[in-house]
Parts: sequence; structure tokens; C-alpha cells
Amino acid sequence: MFKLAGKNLTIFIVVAILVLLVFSIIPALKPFTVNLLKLPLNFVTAIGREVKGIVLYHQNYTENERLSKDVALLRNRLNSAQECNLENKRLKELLSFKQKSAYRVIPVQVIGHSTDNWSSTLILDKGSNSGIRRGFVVISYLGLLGRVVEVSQSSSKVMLINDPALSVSAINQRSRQEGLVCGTLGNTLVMRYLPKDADIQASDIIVTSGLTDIYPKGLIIGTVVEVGEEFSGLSRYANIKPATDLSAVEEVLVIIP
Amino acid sequence: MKKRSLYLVIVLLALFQATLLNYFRIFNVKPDLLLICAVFAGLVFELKQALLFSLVLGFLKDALAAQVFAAHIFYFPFLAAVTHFLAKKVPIETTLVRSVLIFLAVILIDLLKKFFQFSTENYFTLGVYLKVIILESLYTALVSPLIFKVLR
Repeated sequence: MFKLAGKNLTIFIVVAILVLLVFSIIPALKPFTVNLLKLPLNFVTAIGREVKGIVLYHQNYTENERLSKDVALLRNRLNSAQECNLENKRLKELLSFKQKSAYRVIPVQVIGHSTDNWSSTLILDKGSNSGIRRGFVVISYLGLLGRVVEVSQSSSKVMLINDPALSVSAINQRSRQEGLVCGTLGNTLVMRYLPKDADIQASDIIVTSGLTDIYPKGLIIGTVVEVGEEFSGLSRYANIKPATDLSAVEEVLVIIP
Repeated sequence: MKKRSLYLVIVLLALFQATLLNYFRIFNVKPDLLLICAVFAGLVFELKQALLFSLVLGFLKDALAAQVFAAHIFYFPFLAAVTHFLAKKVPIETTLVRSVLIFLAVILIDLLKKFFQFSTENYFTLGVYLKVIILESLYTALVSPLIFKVLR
């Protein structure tokens, strides 16, 4: 009886040591493996992009025409916005306002996506060698994308805003109503903790609030598509369509604070 | 298929899972090709080989994921072992039975994940959870005959 208990105890200890060993080894091996797979990941992603480009040739062509017109229009608007910006700067200087330094961004290619359906992540082809660190904010040309959660020397992983593990403090651009934007793993986000009388409606633009130091203020998160009441009846929620199509991100910008 | 080629195939499948499979998402859900390989290992290999093979599969999946507690390195060998013992008791020969097995395997692994991983953090609403679990199990089961053919 005692012998059996001793044997069981040994097996238990061996298994426990193995489990601990595996858990301590995996984090060290993960970045190495991703670095090793970086080149093939890049290659397969490039093939996918080329094939997609050929398959969707007509759609891309018409979209290109439409976007060229949009770019011309936006250039005009940008010019007038720059005028306003300069004027704003001059006036602020006159009022001795403290200027916040503008952030620097690094353009990075996406080389992979999450392998399972329970998280929403991207693998980027640049890492700590390019100055990327854990916690840095990632955006696209259209708006907020997520945060860097893992960094190796030449690659990094980004948790997207539609991952339920990520929450962003946000405000309604129009009414300045605050809330917390959370992911749902799908193509929409949810803005929670809105008071029952919150001034929020469809087509409102939601931006980062800047209440925490993590996300710079004013990054566009998305547009409200639907407003509803929580099951408890005590608060409301708003479904938000992200500014960027999170399932088709190919290039991102990492903000270097 | 030779074992070395088989290991090469699973690396390719892992790359495919992380890149091109994204274009084949249905309602933002994609099939789990590496899980199919783990079940295949349990059906075809000896227990030791099946465990080693599924350990590599689990590690590959964890390496490409960004979760703090990525435990496929445990789930997949467990699944391979369960499949191995099940195959000794019940004949799992036809494509339909294998697909049903894959369907159940995805549900089992997702339930394990829910139990161990998310028990402390209530990230998912029931609707999201059910959507992912049902779609993923169905999609993976439908794709499995193709992957079994590739691995043969």
C-alpha cells in the first residue's frame, strides 16, 4: 500500500515537473519559432495577396478608380484642414498652450493571423529590432486596430480591438458620451456602460477618449450602427462598426510614443 | 506518407492556418486543420508517436497564437490519446464516422478551453460562444475528409 502511494507520488511529481518545465520553456521557444516561420509566413501571405489581386482584378480596378477620385477630393480638404491647423497652432502659441508632441509611426506588413477562433490577433513582420515594444498601439490609415501583446526580435503579435480580451475607453465624438468599447470576435464591437439616458445614435463616430495613457486621444474606433438596452435594463449598449475591416488588414502602423 | 514528409505537411498546414485560411472564414470562423491532424495521429499512429506528433502540432498552434495561456500543447496530445483508445474500442473507418469524431473533438476541446481558460474571465457572451463552437465544429468536420486525404 505504502509502495503504491510512493509510486503514485513519484509519477505525480514527475508530471508536475514536466508541466512546469513545458510552461517555462514555451514562452522562450515561441518567439524563436515565430522568427523561424517568419520567412515562410511572408511567402505564403505574398502568394495569397497576389492570387487575391488576380481573382478580384475587376473589383480592384473599379475600386481604384473610385478611390482616385476620393483622394483628389480629400487632398483639397486636407489643404484647407492644414490651413486651419496652422491657424490653430499659431493661436495656441499666442495663448502659450502646452503642445503635445506628435507621435511617430512605423509602417509594418501583416504576415499572419490568429490560428484559432477564440482570439483575434495579427502577426507583424517587424519586432524589437525596429523599435516595437509590448503595449504599443497599432492603427491603420482609417483608425484604431489594437495593441502589441508579444514581441520578438523580428516579429510581433497584435491583439485586435475585436478580441474580447481587449477593452478601449472611448467617447462619442458628437455628444462626448463616454463608454467602454469591447470586442465580440465578430465584425462589430460593443460600446458598454452607457447610461440609460446616454446621447448616442446610429452613425455617431466613436473615438478613443485618452482617459488612459495607453491609447492617444481621438483615434477613430468606428461608427455606431445600432443602440440597444442591456438585459438588466440599467444601461444601454451600442454596436459599432470598426473603421477598418479587421478581417482584411494587410498593412498597419505602429505608434511609437 | 513518410513521417518526415508528414511533419513538413503539418508545418505547411500551420502556415496555411495562419495565413490563407483567413480568406475562407465563414462568419469570422475558420476550421481547425491542426486539430484534424491530431485526431489523425490518434487514429493511425502508435500511442507514443501519436503523442509526439500531436505535441508538435500543439506547439505550432501555440507559437502562432498570442494567448498568455496557450495550452494546445496539452490539449492536442490529450485528444490524440483519447482518439487512440477510442479507435481500439469502436471501428472508426468510414469518412462519415471520422467527420462525426472531428465534430465532437472540436466541441470537446472548446469546452476544455472554456473550462480552463475562460473560467475566471467572462469575456464571451453565450451567443458568441455558441456561434463559434457550432460553426467551428461543423466547418472543421466538413473539411476533415480533405485533410485526411492529404495526410494519407
